[in-house]
Amino acid sequence: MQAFRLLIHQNERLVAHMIGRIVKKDEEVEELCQDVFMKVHDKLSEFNFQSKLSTWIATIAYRHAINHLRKEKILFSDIPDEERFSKSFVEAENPQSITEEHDMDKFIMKLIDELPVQYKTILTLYHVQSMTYPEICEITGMPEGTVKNYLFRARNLLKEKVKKYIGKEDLL
Amino acid sequence: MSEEELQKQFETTTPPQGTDPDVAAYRKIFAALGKEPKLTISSDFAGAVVKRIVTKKKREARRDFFWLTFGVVFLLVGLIVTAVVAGLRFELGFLKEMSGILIFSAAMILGFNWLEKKTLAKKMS
Repeated sequence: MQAFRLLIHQNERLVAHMIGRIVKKDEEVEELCQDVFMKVHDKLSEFNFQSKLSTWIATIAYRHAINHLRKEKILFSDIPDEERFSKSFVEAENPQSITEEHDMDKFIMKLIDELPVQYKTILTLYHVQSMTYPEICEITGMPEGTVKNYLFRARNLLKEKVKKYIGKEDLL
Repeated sequence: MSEEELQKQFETTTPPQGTDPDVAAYRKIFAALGKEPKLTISSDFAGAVVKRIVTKKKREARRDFFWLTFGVVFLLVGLIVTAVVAGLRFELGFLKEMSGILIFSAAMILGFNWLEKKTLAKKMS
């Protein structure tokens, strides 16, 4: 158990960041993270050292979070109409909770929360966890082209929104 | 510079400089993206997980014990019913002749069980 405790310490941030990005309710995040490590404990004998342990754990976390969304009937599937979504994301007025945010980093974090699940997950894995494209592909099950495309689009959407926000700030 | 090239530039060690609105926006985004989001898990997260695993194992052990007891009782009942219905008579005279080896075997089984539980409990904690 001591070894497993160490494994949890080494990977709890990774799992918490992933689940925290996908599941919006803070009160559910802790329990879901615990569920992930329970699964890891149960399936540890199935780990075949084909990938890094952290990648394997992140895969379990991603699938668990997606299953949770499915169970809760939260819409998350394929980004329905990318063009329409992009337009509505950039043009929509920000909710008050976001516009009241004066710290730019926090403002961007809140914008990320508004993005589709796939975009948020890839941004977190790439930028926060510094994972490579093949690792992200293994975790999400998406082809490398899709991962690169989603990463580009996510950053582009954020840029358009931030640009709009900076413009407004300058006017004030 | 295309949008894609601009993003790639920000991933290098020398990100673009200047006051262009796109560059300014990307600078803020790339600075924010690398920062760790706040953690929403408790300080003794590992302890909570280990506690849940231990509780789960105890529950599974209790369930296994229940089914083992159920199986043994069911077997005994079946044996008694069969003996009564078929009118079987047990000749247990041989037990007297082999009492030494029987006591030794029982002591060995109990001893190994005790030793196994002792070492497993140590490993579990």
